[in-house]
Amino acid sequence: MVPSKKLRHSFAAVYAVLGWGALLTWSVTTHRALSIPEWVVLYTLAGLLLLVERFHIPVTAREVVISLETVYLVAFSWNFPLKTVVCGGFLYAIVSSLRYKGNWYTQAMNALAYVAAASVSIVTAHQLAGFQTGLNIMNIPLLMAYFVVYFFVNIVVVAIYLVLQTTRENTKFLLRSIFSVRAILVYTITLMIGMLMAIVIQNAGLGGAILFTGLIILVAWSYGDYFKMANHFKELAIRDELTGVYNHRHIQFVLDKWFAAETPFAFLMLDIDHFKRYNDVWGHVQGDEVLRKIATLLQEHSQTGEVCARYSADEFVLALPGSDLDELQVRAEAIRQAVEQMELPGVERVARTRLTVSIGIAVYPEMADNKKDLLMRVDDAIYKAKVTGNNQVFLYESVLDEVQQDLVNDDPEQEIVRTLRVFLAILNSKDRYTYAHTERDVNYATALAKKIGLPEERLRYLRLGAFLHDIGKVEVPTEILTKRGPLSKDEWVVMRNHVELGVSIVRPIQSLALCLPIIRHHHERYDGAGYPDGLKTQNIPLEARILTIADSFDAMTTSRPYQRKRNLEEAIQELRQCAGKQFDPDLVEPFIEAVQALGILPSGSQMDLA
Amino acid sequence: MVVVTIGLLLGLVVGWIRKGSFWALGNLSMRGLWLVALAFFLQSLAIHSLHGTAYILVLSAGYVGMMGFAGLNLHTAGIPWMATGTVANFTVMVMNGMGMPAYLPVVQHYSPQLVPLLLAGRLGKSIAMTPDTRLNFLGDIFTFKVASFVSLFSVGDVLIAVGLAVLLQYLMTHPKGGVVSGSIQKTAP
Repeated sequence: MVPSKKLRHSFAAVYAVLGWGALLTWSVTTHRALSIPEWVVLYTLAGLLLLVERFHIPVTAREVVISLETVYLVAFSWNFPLKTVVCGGFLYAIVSSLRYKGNWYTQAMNALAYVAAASVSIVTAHQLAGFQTGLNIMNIPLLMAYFVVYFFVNIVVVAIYLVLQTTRENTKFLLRSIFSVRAILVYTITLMIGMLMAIVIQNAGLGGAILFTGLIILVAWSYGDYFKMANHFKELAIRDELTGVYNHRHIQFVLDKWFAAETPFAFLMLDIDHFKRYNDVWGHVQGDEVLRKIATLLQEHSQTGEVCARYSADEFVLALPGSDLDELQVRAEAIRQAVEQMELPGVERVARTRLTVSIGIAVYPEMADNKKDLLMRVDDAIYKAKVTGNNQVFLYESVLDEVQQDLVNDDPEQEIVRTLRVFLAILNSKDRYTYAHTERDVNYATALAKKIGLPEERLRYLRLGAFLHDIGKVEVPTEILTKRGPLSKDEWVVMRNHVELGVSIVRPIQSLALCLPIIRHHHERYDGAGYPDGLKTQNIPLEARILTIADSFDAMTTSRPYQRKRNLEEAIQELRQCAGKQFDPDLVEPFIEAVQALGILPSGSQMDLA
Repeated sequence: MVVVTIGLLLGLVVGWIRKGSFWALGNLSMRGLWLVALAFFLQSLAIHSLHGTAYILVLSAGYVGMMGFAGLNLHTAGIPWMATGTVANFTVMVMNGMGMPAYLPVVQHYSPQLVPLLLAGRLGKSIAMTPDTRLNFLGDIFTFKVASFVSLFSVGDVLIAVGLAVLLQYLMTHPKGGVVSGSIQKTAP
């Protein structure tokens, strides 16, 4: 069971308190009471830590900074009794935590990680050096041991905190960034500055520390300006100016990086439904405001390590490292609902007007093994969400994958299967609607076949046949396939010819011989008015009759340029009206029941925006 | 006073670096500013002219006035620091008969002539720090030396100086300063 966010935060708070309790108890019980000069050191340390907490020295332009607190704790621990350093660090932890209010434990934990690492490493160094105090910079092995212990303790304290406070995926992600070359470089620089300051204090006392602080603050301040400028340009390059989230360029970079590192992740694409119409009605100024609102909402729904970006005009993406599918769908659904409930201008003027989004999800490595495929998969998913009524979340799934698995497992004619796949890819590129439509046909036909108890072997060929039934369209010119108006007589001849073309494409594959009648006869009508052979009633193969219903139902319930989409009730009504004419009357009612059980179409009319 | 002066100068310098305006200081509007003047007067009166119970009462009244002023303006940038410093100073004085304990080895190092005077009794509001002194870590334990001038101060004084610096630079960088209780939640960045 995954603990709730609140519980995780409580764990983290308890951890910070217990950690400090243990450290203080240890330092108080093993050291004598503080003298007045030690109090002066304690106050000075706490004051300097509070001061430098607000300054960081950037190391690279990639948000890597030197935390100056470490520098002071290292320097002071080499020169003053440990109890002074621990108590000074504790005073700093208390005062600085106050600024974080509800998140106080985060800062208390940060301070604990610094102080614990400095304490344990200095005790180790003292033991190794035979309890000689003072820093001998020439004792390289000792300094190396000090470095390793510091690094180790710091990582352990932080790792425990991460395990308690955040999700497992985030912990892995953050730990991976801690163990990077860049992070070790930062540690090294920090510890070396700390050593340098230790030498200054050794020779010039607290006055030296204050002088050093002046230098550090000036360096941090002047360097900060340069890095601010560099970051400004970097932000301009990777952020979307309008919404403030990352842009298309950056998300491509992130994807490349994650693919290179083989990081499992989910890719969620969100497309605003009817956004063009919204812009036409309310104007682009208001449209921009909507984009900003949705970007803000997405950022609110994303967690540490996840990347939110504007992919194109009205499309946003969210890349989530290592998310599991169930959680992903719940989160996507939450985003969809949040957008639907978003307060927008126009709601008060046009009742029931809601802006909605369609969300597609694809996951690496389960669904694609390269960036191009992943983007195509998520595009497919979003297309399915759009074509079946908008305002939905669709996880990518492909009947083609399943069908191909069937073929490859059983058939030696793999070369032909590959050719078939190429044909399907061509069809997809020529007319996306037809491709997505065949996938839905497979699902509908399968549902009906199961409902009427079609044997397993016949069901398998029905699925294959349903998937390939429109493959002949690959030979139909694109302008006819995608024509918005009614077809001319000549064009109808070409279009009708697709069934015979399909048969001739599939015929060479012996193992698909049983699919041929399905492909050939799926446009026959029960009353004999169909094509190509004008077969009637039971003369039409059962599988073809099943597919005819599935095919027609999908055509009724999806948006086409030349035809208004029907909702579920309207489609059912039309099926019943055509029973005995176009469709086998014995199959219509089982089909209606099967489709209702599938539950993938929203019932009731969809309110179009504006 | 030296440390408070440093706080004042530091606040002005930081305010200037952060592109603040000296003229903005004129917008200072705080509640009960008269309490500060009264508190300074009472403290000065007690230290220089009064003894015994009158000294204790008037000096305490001075501190209470300062804390009242801080309480009225607690949401203003820098005031929480100043309030904490005042409370720290007042607490250690209350615990030690309204005398501020001074760390003798430091006095001995910089101004040995003052040691006998401190040991003999009160010097201004300062008293000698002994093993019996309560909350000695809140006493005058810091020193600051400029040329031949030496100043002894407590952690409370440092907090007051920090608060003053924060307040001044805040006023300089927020031209509409007008700091009224509850209206501004942010402290200086």
